[in-house]
This record gives sequence, C-alpha cells and structure tokens, in this order.
Amino acid sequence: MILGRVVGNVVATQKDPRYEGGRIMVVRPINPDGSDAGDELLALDAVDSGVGDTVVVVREGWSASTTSTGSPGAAIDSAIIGVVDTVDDNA
Amino acid sequence: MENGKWKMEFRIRSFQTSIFHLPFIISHFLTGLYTPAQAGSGWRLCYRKVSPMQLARVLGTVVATVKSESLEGRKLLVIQPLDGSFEQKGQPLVAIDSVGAGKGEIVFWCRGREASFPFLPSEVPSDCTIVGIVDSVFLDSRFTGSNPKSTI
Repeated sequence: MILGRVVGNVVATQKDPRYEGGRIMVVRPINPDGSDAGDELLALDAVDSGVGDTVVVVREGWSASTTSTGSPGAAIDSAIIGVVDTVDDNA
Repeated sequence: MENGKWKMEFRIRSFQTSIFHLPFIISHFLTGLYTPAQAGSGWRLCYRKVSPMQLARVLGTVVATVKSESLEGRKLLVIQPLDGSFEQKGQPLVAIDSVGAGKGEIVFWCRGREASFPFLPSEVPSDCTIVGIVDSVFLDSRFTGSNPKSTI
C-alpha cells in the first residue's frame, strides 16, 4: 500500500456497472513527511474519504475489488482502504 | 522499484507459467477444463519490473481509525524498501504486519495478490505484507563483486 492525499474526484456517468455507487477519487502519492511522491492515481473509495484526507491506497486488483465493491472480479486497480490519523515513528 | 530489472514472464490468471506447464495447459484445453473464453480473459504475456530484493526497514506505524472492516486489528507499518547493500530504494510503502515487526527492524516483505495469503482464511486487502524479520543477510563477495555492508 502507499500513503496518499485525496486531491479530487472523478465523475463518470458511463462506467462499468460494477462501479455503480462508488466514488472515484484522485489521489496524489505522498511520503510519510507529507512531500509529494509521484503522479496522481485514481482509486475507488471504500471508506468515505474526502478531499484533503491522508489515505492508505492498496494497489492490487483483488484487494481493491473486494474492499470497494464487496466481491472480487471488478476491473479495478486501486482502492482507498483507510483514512490516516497520524504516521507515528515511535513504533 | 527504480533499480529493478525488466523481466518477461508468461502468466495465466496471475500465476506465473513456464514451459514445464505447457503439457498441463494443453491437456486442460483438450479436456475442456480450460476454455478459450477463460484463456482470453486470463492469459497474458507481460513485462514486469521485478525488484531484486524484498528487504525493507520499518520506519514507523500508521494510525488509521476509519478503515476497511477487513483491516480491523491489523497493524499498518511504514517501511522503506532497501537494496542488497541496505541502501534506500524507492519510496516508502505502507505494509501490513503478519509477524510482529517493530520500528528499526529489517524485514522481508512480499507484494501483489500473494501479500494477502498470510492472513487466510481471512480476506485481508493487502499488496504489501511483512512476512519475516531478518536476523542476518550473507552475501558472498565473490558473486556480489563487493564486500557487503551489514547494517544489522
């Protein structure tokens, strides 16, 4: 998984039926210190995140599909599976 | 993954396949166990960037109250992937812990669909799971070309 910040969302009327009811968010990968770490990606939202939230994004098809749509087999690459409160370096 | 090598591999439904599997594939075709429709959706010849070493150092924990139900009770750690000489490689990742690792430890991790296997039969969404705590790494300098720098 990677850390990311939600910077927006995508509205698509014509889409795969498996996505119905889901929200497609634009996520910018970040490092633990908050700096940017690469290009934005699209992820289906499984946890009701909002713009500005720091989130955990899983980048694997089966995990993304089961968490965001409830069953495997949807054509999805990544999903938001958690909203981060803090990144603590005193593990 | 920046330092990874490009590797070509043949995959059927995410399982890596080799020439040795060919008789099984053909026999499955002949007996109808594996239909062309499945093949069309599942076969692919792909180039994948493979990481030469799946070591990482644990940097800290991620605290997330709102998370997917299937992540309840799982520990999320931030890890920094390392190369063979324990230099930082690539961007930090968030990993689920399956072995009880802590901050500062060198760990062995796996990626992809297989990353959720340690938690079976629970279906945990993960593409990066810590599967071992490294005690030591031995690299023979005759093959690596330089003396390894052990930081453990």
